[in-house]
Amino acid sequence: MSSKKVRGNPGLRRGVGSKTTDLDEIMEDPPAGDWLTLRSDQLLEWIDNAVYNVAETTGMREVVNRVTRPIFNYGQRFSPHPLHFGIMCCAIEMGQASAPDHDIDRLGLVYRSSPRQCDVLIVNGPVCEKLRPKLKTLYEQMPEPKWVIAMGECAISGGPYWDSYSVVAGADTFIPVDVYIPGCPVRPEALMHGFLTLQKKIREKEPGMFLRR
Amino acid sequence: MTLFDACRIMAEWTVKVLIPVFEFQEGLFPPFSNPAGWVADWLATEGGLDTMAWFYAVNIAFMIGMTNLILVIHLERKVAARIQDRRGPMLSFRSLRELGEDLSGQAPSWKFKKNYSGIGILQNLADGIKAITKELIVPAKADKFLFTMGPIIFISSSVFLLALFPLSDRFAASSAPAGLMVIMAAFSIAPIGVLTSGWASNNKYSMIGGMRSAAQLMSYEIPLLLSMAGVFLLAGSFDPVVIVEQQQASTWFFGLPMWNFIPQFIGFAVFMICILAEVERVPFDLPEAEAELVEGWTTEYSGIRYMLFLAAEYIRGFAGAAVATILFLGGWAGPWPVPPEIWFLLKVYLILLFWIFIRWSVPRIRTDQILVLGWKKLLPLSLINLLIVIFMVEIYPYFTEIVNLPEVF
Repeated sequence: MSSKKVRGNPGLRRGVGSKTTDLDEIMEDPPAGDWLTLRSDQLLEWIDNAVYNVAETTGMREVVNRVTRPIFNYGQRFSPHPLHFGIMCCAIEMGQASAPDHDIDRLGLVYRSSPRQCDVLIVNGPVCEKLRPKLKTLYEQMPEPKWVIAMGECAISGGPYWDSYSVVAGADTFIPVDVYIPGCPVRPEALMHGFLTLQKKIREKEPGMFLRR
Repeated sequence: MTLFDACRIMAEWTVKVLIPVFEFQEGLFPPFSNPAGWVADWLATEGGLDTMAWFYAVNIAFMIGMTNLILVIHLERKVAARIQDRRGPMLSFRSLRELGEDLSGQAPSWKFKKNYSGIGILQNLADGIKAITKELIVPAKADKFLFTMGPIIFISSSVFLLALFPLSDRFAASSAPAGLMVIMAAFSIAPIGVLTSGWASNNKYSMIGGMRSAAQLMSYEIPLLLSMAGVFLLAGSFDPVVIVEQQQASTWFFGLPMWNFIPQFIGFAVFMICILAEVERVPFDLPEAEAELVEGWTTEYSGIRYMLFLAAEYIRGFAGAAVATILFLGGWAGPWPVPPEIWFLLKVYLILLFWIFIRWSVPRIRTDQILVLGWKKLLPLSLINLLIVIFMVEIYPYFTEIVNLPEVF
């Protein structure tokens, strides 16, 4: 489209992101003559906004969230799928955690190779300057409810390489970290305890998910 | 009484309840009175009753398939864990207590030990709920239409399979005379979905995965159908019911039924290898080779789409085991006290258990190896099997008429 003419419903763009509670303004949103100019994605956006606004003003959102939040939270905390990604010696311990002695599959963990199918990013080793953009990309490729575990001293603060010219001083300098597991290297039991701590955190902190924003 | 008769009775009862509702609504809302009247008139006819009965039958088949899907995934994870001397997922029913606490607003009690002391069948529930809440990512440079069409083709053609195979001669959602041909046609749609989603992801690993799926289709499809041709020739029909009756009718030593895997053991071996390639389980899971391609053709799919891909693969595995049971293992035939549906499921689960053992015991083969295996080894073997069956059906009876030979087959 070469023309810069704005298509669609101007009232729609006004509604985006605005948390209005005025009922008249909500009802004004679909103008009578403008229906045919809506594209399908705009229509979906309008439906999203209308449903959200109505649910917000009538208090339905709180009711729905009160039911759906525990159910969704149950699924999220009992099925963490970490990314199969190893940096250094803590990755060996991560593999040992899946072995018969410390069977981490009991907690429902399945290591997936693609970041699109993961919930948890385990940073297990020193992040050098060359790795940092790649790790940030991997974090950004993961779909939205996602958590990060910093495993070992190197991922927490740089560890023995704290004054090196090429090692980042901790994973939390560029991605938000949820759980820190100290140890050099981390024992498999400690990794399992880290996942249980993450469950505890998800149960306490995760907001309701049914209606967005 | 067949499944359809039971569904017909249920439909009659439903219509008895529904018609007064529609008639009541006819007077209540004048603008909608006409459609309500039409629906009520239509439901009272034979066609309306039959349609509703089919609706019930297909839904029952779908629910049975989905129940089996959950059991198959659970069996796969637990047996895999036992093969590796582990215990597998152990999420217990006691973890639902936490859900109850959250729903009722009580203070949380942190007793994690009790969450992991069960059989772990709730793990599937947790995975499914999590997949619903995940974000659906469409990559910026992907072909958005095909990216959404690929999962639809793959999953719908897989779920379609559930309505096609009968659990017994009385328990069938659909009994077409060409039943097995329809099943194999539905099986062959899925590689198109794989190729579509692999190409539309605009990712080189997905692309290679989709191409491998197409190359694999070239190699296994011909020996698969040729090994099935022997069974069709012996039974003279594509109908699953006729095939199973033929296997039960032909007898062996001591009057035992001669199921098809005894005279056609070459065809049985070829069919088991090819159906394993058809459902893309481990020795032939080239399209999603985790060590070479990241996740193969599912690399760019997130959330519920990925989870439905996974579910559809297990549905295909279940349907493939069911086809193998009908063709070679005598279907639902078995001794009396156990009902035939249970016999059928027992045989299907036996094959699935065998496949799980294979999955965790053998390495993956290469693309050129599967082409060599398909064209140079399985294709001649399936032709030999077809020759044996032709000898059994056509030539040997001809000579028994001329010379006095015993009737073996």
